[in-house]
Amino acid sequence: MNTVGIGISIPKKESNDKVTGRAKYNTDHIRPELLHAWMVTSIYAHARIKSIDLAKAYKITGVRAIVTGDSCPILCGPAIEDWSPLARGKVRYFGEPIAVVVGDSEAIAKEAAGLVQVEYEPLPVVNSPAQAFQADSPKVHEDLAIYEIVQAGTIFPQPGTNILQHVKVKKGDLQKGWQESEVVVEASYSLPQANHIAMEPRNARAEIKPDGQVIIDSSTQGPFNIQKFISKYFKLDNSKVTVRAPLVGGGFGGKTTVHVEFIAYLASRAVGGRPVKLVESREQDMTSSPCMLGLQASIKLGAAKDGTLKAGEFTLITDVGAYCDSGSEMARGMAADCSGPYRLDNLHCDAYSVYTNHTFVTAFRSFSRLSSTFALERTMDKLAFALGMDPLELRKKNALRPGDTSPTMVRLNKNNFGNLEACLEKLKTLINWDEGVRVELGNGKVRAKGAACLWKTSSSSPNAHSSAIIIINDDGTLNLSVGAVEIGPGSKTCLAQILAEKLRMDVNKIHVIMEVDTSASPHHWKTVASMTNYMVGNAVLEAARDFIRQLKTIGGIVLKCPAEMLEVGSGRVYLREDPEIFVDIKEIGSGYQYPEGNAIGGQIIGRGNFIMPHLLPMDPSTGRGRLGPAWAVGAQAVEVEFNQRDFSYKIVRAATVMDAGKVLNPKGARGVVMGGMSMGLGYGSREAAKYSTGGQRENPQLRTYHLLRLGENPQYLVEFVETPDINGPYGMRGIAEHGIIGIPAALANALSAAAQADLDCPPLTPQAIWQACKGAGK
Amino acid sequence: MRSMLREGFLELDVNGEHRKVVARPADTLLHVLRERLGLTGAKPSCKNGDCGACTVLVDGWPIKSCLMLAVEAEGHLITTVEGLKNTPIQKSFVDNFAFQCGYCTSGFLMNCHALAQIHPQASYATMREWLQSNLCRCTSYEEITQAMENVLLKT
Amino acid sequence: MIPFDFEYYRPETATEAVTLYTDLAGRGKNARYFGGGTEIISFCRLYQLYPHAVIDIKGIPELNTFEQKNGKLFIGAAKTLSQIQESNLFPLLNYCGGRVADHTIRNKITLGGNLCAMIPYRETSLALLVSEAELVIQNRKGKKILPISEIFHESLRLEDGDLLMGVHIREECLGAPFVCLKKTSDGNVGYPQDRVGYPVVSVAAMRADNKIQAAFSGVCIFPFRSRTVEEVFNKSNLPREEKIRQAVEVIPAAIHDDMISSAGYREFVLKSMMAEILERLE
Ligand SMILES: Cc1cc2nc3c(=O)[nH]c(=O)nc-3n(C[C@H](O)[C@H](O)[C@H](O)COP(=O)(O)OP(=O)(O)OC[C@H]3O[C@@H](n4cnc5c(N)ncnc54)[C@H](O)[C@@H]3O)c2cc1C
Ligand code: FES
Ligand code: FES
Repeated sequence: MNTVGIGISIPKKESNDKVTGRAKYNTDHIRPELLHAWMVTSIYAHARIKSIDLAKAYKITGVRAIVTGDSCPILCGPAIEDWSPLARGKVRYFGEPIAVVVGDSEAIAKEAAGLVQVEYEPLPVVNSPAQAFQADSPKVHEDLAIYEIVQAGTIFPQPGTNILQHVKVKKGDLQKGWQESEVVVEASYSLPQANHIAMEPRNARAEIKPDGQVIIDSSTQGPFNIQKFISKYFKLDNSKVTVRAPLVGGGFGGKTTVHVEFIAYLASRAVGGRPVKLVESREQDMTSSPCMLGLQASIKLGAAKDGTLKAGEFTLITDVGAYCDSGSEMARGMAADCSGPYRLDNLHCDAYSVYTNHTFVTAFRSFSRLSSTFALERTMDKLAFALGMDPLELRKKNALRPGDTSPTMVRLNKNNFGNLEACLEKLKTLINWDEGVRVELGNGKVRAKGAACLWKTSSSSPNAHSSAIIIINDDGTLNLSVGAVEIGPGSKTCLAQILAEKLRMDVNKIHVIMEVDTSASPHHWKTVASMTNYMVGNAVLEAARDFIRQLKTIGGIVLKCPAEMLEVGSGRVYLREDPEIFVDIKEIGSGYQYPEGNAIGGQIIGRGNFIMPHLLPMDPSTGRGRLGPAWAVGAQAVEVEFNQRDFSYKIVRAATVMDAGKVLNPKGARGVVMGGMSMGLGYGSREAAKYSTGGQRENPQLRTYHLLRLGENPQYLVEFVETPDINGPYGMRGIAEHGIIGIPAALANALSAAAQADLDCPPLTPQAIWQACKGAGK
Repeated sequence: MRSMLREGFLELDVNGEHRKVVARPADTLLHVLRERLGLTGAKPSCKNGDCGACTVLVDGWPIKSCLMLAVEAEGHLITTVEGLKNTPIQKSFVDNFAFQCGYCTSGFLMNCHALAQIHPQASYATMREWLQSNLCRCTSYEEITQAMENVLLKT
Repeated sequence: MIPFDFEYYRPETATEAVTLYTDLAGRGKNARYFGGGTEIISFCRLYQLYPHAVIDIKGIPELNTFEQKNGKLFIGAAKTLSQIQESNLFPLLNYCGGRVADHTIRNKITLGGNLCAMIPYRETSLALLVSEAELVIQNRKGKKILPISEIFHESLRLEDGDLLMGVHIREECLGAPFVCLKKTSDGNVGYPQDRVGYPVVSVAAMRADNKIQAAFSGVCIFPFRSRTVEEVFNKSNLPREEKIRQAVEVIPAAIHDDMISSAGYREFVLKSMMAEILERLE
């Protein structure tokens, strides 16, 4: 098998460790000196904390400390500082950490945690985004006016209300758009919060060395982010905080934020800096740590009779739960991409984030674009129906093309957008669209298809950057060190492939360092937003160029010619005109020794970095701006077999065609796309955070919060279009999240066609479909 | 009558080795394998029997070790992923990209391996019934199904 | 992680087990028979149960046997649902038990544990209710054998210290025609099991002596077999739709409404399952 470079399916570098149980995740470090922490969490969604009685808990032998919010009067948050690691004064969601107990074993800490007595005074609950909006609604945060805003100009809270963010995007002339519209459709949607369910629950260890050095080991997507926030909020020099991230057991955005790390740090501080391990139970992971946002959306679209979109009005209200975290950012991202990959010259979008007494939210695979896409793509289907037009035709007719502009007025070109039409064209054949959207199979069964398009750009901070270091070993192999965390999609292997391609050498001779250690690894913003291969890949390429330059310099001395006459490949530096004249890189990588014994040079270290140019914050009144460097686009479809008698269904096939720019690792890319699709089918068909009327979480367990299981998966059809993005390494685009984006919508479109009812509120369980059909009198 | 009234010694047969460990009667097998024997291949995820990440073999049968007491395992042969040595299913998982983050992998491997041993010619329906016991959040299950099918004997 | 301590005992005979239970009680210790332990362990982890001692009954040979004699099949209470399924002695029980939890858990869940479980579905009870099984129960005073109908009302009404030894099923029931259906919130469950979850509705029905006998779980907050429902089913000359309408009216309690299913949807599912039972067994 060819093992040089990109475009080949190299198994993950860490494969052997992962199939032998040797792969070490953060909780796998078992050390006798570790103390263990357990969180006391709120049983109310909204309540004043009247008192906390620790006496009984302290009576348990082996309890070393108990920390409550009062010993840590700080407020933090990445966008607005509205959150205290341990609740103070009141709790704002069910599961909110109130105290943390440190004990000699997990059993001791947990037992004592059960004995911490919290006296609550329950308060009225804000239990939905609609309720949050009402003027007489209880306020989740009374102090919104005095909270510190961290990212000025990106978040616009409205003190005295539950409105935390209001983003406006305005493009064209809406009035004119409506006048030109011959057909108008309007609909509302409601999408529940959901959970990330990385199989490894969130956890962290913290230790404070005698010299004040803080060490945090975390299952995280953002070690540098943890370093930044721990140092900021505990007033430490950045270099006084070291964060290490080993292999991570899944993240999906849920491990981008800093949460349990703060609590683990407080726990360690309370026991004189001794190492403390804090592992969330599954229930805590589902209620205490942040989840995926909920959305209430209204969309109105207008089109000419031929299907050309003329006007669009969007109201997107996101349920970010009790604290902001990245909730305000996600509203911006949704607003910036509100039109979908369609040409819509006249539009208004109002995107809000509102506080509720639900679990707070953070990034979720696709930065929650799957939710806004659901609303838009359902409306597109309704429009197609109203126009009497084929749904895929309508999408093709309106597909954005180079030369068009995005809602925030970014001019699109082949590089930053790719080729959506080609994706749609391919999808049509792949899913056998022409067979018809709805086919009666007899016996009460119907086969139906639904489609949706996807697009997404990243919401990177304008100064997000990445670096890479290449070091040569004495045997001529290389070590590649980067700041990206391996959370599953095989990024480290892809990065090795990028390096192998550039150096034209065997990937097996490139070692990647799996663990990230902020004190030793080069920087990377966060392992998020599908940007790892793009950003870090560019840094690796830069490092490779630096590395090659150095190899050629010393190679030129050895081969007695100018560096310009040399090439690097197959582990050699050779003469371009005659590759048989060469020197092995292992002979020059750590200095070159002349036959006479004297030596020159030294170890070659390649270094490279990358920062994203041209990002511009959105203008507060029009939304004009540029959030990310490029979009990745694609088209998706789902086919179901629906039983009209009992409203059950089988998902038969699911298809995705995506413009990947360049596929670096075909099996790996197919895998992440299918993984995203699988998650999308889960969300579309069954996943939802259920809250009682009192705002308490009812299904914080996998027993009642169902994921797709083996055998429920449909046949997956995945294909790629390759329109290179000149700025991506070898033309690649970030697609790691995107498989999820259009799938819930495509599923709902298929099921709506099958059931001949509007299914606008996932999850689409048989009960939900039954309910909708009953409502529609069917 | 065997009784264990408080923390004390337990003797376990793990991966062909006889091991003596200190445990509490209420300690789960998962906890003892990981915390006392350092066999961290079995993973905690839900500790509620729902996900299968903690699956090990007891006398050759897959068992969720979060729902078994360590003391219950006395006298039985326990196999963890660390005890799998070059089995066909391990290679098949690598070849088929049957994992991403790898956190569910040990549990899946144990279940798959047991199926291949107990029902080497398992039908698709049997395979699905067995492997439904494990959750994977990263892959689409297509890869795992493929990896399993490649190991089962074709009938 | 179970945060508190309990004592563990593994007796070798049933007499030893029940004596131990009483002795522990005498010392003020609340003990639990421990079958598969799946429920005990998960409840303890969540502080929903605090036994002082568990008595593991899997070491008692009698509870671990299948035996066919005198026209009856005996299944020991410590037999796991997987062992029952692999033995394939009573297909209806395969179906009912073969859809509880998932395959790996069924390697641990015992028949006795499922019948005595606190989690209200107790789906194996459906097969035993419709086949009018007899339960073998031992306590300090000795052994007794009771028809299930006498002791299973909503749950198994064991007295403190009663140990369920096993169940007898009459041989003529083993091969009787049956219908067994289950639906979870995500859809229908086939057999072999192809979907995991608590039931919205789970039913078992059997045709014996030319009559339909049916038991239900999920519908109400407890599993039940209802003679009145069966009377309606077995009326001659009543159109099927009318039977279903009447049967739903006489079920023994309100239809359960919870996060797994609304009462309305449960009723819908129940009706369609009744239709299928009638269609296949009438
Ligand atoms: C992942 C999962 C999914 C589940 N899904 C379902 C489902 O779909 N349908 C369903 O019906 N149930 C379901 N359950 C619940 C399950 O049925 C119970 O956990 C199980 O039946 C308990 O059996 P066990 O042998 O492990 O019992 P144990 O945990 O050992 O005992 C349960 C109770 O029964 C008592 N007991 C046990 N044996 C005896 C005996 N011989 N005599 C007297 N008392 C006894 C114990 O003292 C205890 O009170 C599920 C459980 C899990 C873990
Ligand atoms: S951890 Fe044991 S089944 Fe999930
Ligand atoms: S590979 Fe990540 S959960 Fe399965």
